[in-house]
Amino acid sequence: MNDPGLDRDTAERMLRGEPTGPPRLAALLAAASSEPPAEELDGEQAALAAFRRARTLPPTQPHWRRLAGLGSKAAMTGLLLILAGGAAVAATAQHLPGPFGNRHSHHAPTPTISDTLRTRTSPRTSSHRAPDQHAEPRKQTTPAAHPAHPGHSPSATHGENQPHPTKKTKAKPSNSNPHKPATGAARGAAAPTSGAGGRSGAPRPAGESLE
Amino acid sequence: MPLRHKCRIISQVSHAEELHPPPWLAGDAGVTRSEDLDAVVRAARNGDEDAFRTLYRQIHPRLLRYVRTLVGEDAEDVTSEAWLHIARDIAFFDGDIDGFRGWTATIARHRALDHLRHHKRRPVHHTPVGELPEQPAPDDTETTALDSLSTQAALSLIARLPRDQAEIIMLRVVVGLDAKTVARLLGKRPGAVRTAAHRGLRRLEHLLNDLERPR
Repeated sequence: MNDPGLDRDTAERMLRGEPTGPPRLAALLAAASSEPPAEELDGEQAALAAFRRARTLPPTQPHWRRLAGLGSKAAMTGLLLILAGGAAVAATAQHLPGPFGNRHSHHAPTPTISDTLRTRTSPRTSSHRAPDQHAEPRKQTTPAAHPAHPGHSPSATHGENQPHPTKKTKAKPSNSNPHKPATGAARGAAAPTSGAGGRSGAPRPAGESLE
Repeated sequence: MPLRHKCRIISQVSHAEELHPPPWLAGDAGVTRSEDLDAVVRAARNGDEDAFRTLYRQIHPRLLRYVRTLVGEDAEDVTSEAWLHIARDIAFFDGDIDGFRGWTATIARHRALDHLRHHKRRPVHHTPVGELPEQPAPDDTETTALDSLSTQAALSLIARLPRDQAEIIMLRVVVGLDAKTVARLLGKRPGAVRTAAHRGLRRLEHLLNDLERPR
């Protein structure tokens, strides 16, 4: 009944669950931490349902919160990098299918003729500008190296169009309907001296086929 | 006596250990050892439902008792909310079974304090003095009173302590946290936690003495 004061060490050991100290107090602590009766587990199904729900849901807010908390700047930088990289890839990728696609669609009506012409007239170039090369094959040898030659502007522009992918987007519309008068006019407007070339470009397929 | 001898051995062994597992961990639930429970925590974190159930059965009753010392009869609701939180975030928990106990206790405590704030209540000692359950019949002697001390009675007695002492004793004895974890959870120094627990135990002794005195 009259316990001679519980000392600190004994108290600490009792708190750790050791069977020591005043028996009545030990009994009380043991009772407090005894095995639970079944009714204390009533909420088990709800907890399990929540657990299942959390499994089926996609990665949840805490993840984002953690991300945001740990490195929102890093995350934003990464996002921007990804976006920029994607834009760059898309930009380059768009250039590649442009000429190819255009070439295919362009030459689809007269594929064999233009190809044969091209190979025959200017075999060293794989350009789709067969008529221009055909018209000025020599200028193709020094194409963009002398852009100052005004008289060569048609072939020069074409020659520039070929090696510089960035300009092919601009060349795209002219490629898409290069044989139509509108394109010739546009080209003529861009390079007045190439009016003849443009005009010759307009009936180009016919000229090619004729030749 | 063999049993007493065993107890002494356990006592010596556990005295040597810094982290002595709480007595309720020495149950017969199959998976009881700390290392096993560490594995259970990992499995639950990876989505194993059985593992989560095991953890729930291990931890919930103690958590519920602890929360009851804070919010009284609303403990079931508060603890259930805490488990929803635990179930949702367990995939992001990183630690062993001891860490898991501390983590769940932290969540439950926050829920309890939110609950008290929301209802603009102070933590109450929910059990009036006269309501100490399973009091022995008057013809029983004091010794039987102690022998038959039920869990409910024990918890009611602890709940009559000053709140910080009751909370610390519950966290250490019932939830099974060590002094450092409790200190972290409560935002106190471990020394302060030990002192408060010591005082609480002494006060509990006095309460027991009062209980035993013939009325």
